[in-house]
Amino acid sequence: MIKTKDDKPEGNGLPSDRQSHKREIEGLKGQIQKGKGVDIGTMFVKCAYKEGDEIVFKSQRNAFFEVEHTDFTKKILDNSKVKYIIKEDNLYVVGDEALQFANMFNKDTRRLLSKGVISPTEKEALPIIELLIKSVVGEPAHKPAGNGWPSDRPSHKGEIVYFSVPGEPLDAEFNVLYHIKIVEGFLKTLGYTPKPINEGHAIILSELAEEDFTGIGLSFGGGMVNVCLSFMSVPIFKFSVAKSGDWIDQQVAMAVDETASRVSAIKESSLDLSKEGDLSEIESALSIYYNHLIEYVIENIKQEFAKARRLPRIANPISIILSGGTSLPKGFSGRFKQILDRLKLPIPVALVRMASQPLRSVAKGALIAASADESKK
Amino acid sequence: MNIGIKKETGFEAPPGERIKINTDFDFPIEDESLVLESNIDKIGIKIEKEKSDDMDKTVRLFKEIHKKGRKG
Repeated sequence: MIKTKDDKPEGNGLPSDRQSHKREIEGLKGQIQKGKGVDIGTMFVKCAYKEGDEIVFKSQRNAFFEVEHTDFTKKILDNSKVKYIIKEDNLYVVGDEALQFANMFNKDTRRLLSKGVISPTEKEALPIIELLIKSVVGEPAHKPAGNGWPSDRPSHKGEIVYFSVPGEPLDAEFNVLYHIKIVEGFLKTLGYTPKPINEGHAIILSELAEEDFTGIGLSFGGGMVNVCLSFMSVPIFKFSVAKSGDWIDQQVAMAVDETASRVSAIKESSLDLSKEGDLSEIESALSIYYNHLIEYVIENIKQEFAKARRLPRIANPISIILSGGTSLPKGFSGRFKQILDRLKLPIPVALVRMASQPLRSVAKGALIAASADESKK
Repeated sequence: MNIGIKKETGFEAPPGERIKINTDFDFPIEDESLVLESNIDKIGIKIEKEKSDDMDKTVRLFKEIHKKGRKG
């Protein structure tokens, strides 16, 4: 049998060497390792960290819905294990249940992030997003002794956390710097050393190790689609477009006179983009807008290739990785391939595939960056 | 020698050179969430786990390739 380099055990391969490696792994079991990755998306906040030989993901849906604030409502929510936040006199249901409540009342949920950044129109958003981030990221597992930290020892470098940020949008007049600084500042108050990572780049770190981190990472999120072309792990271009899942929901809702929350619920639960006939009115409209979105993204990638001045010589055909909540409907990658075959990129594409875990790949990629940085310390 | 002087309109940055912002501003953030009441901690957060398998290998590879990629 021909052996590949992957078959070779670490060290000299002697039994005693393997035993010490095994002992080392045993020692690490259950131990939380330094470095965290956080995906701060329009739909979810997700944190990844490594504990022993597992990656742990903690997540929270980024939506809220106001209900009447009475002691009775609060008690019912507590008994039904529905998460809420009280700010001044207002009671907000948060998380997955916010979507269910919105559907029940035939209204839309309110969102803490809009188009990938902290919503400028929701004045309640900031403390709530802070609480949600805190609930998933927690305090650093590795911190110096003392009760006043981090404020009493601001020079101490806390545990590194990489948090995802959108690329500059090509089609919207806003800048992501303010959003980055707010999140960075908040993570610092928790005692972390925060560093931003582009969302598309994080997907490449998580999914394209075997291709030397060369390829295109696409994150179809709630508010934006993020795109990154990377060569040998270095981003060549990255950008976002401010149309994605929310845009599809809104357009479909307007077209068929439904609420966006109901459209979103159907999209998340039963949409099949490979189905060609026997579609409901909402499914047909969703299919139309999915087509439009995919074509729009591919045309923007083509434009960025045309604009790029110094493209590296990429010898082999590249892989394209699809991820994010809006990419979850069955048949999405097939639809993307069909449209790509028609529109074609200026470089050869070997493969289009879904990320192994489309909702986790951004947080996992950010964790890989954090672990790499921590190991340099 | 072409030093990037454009007639009548003065200096112009050579094409391809972008202005880099080198200063930074630490945003003074306070934890405003401390005044909120919530049952999130009591109910708990959704947790999923997956085997990390070859994550350590990916981290090592990333460090090596990133070094090469930046030089190249």
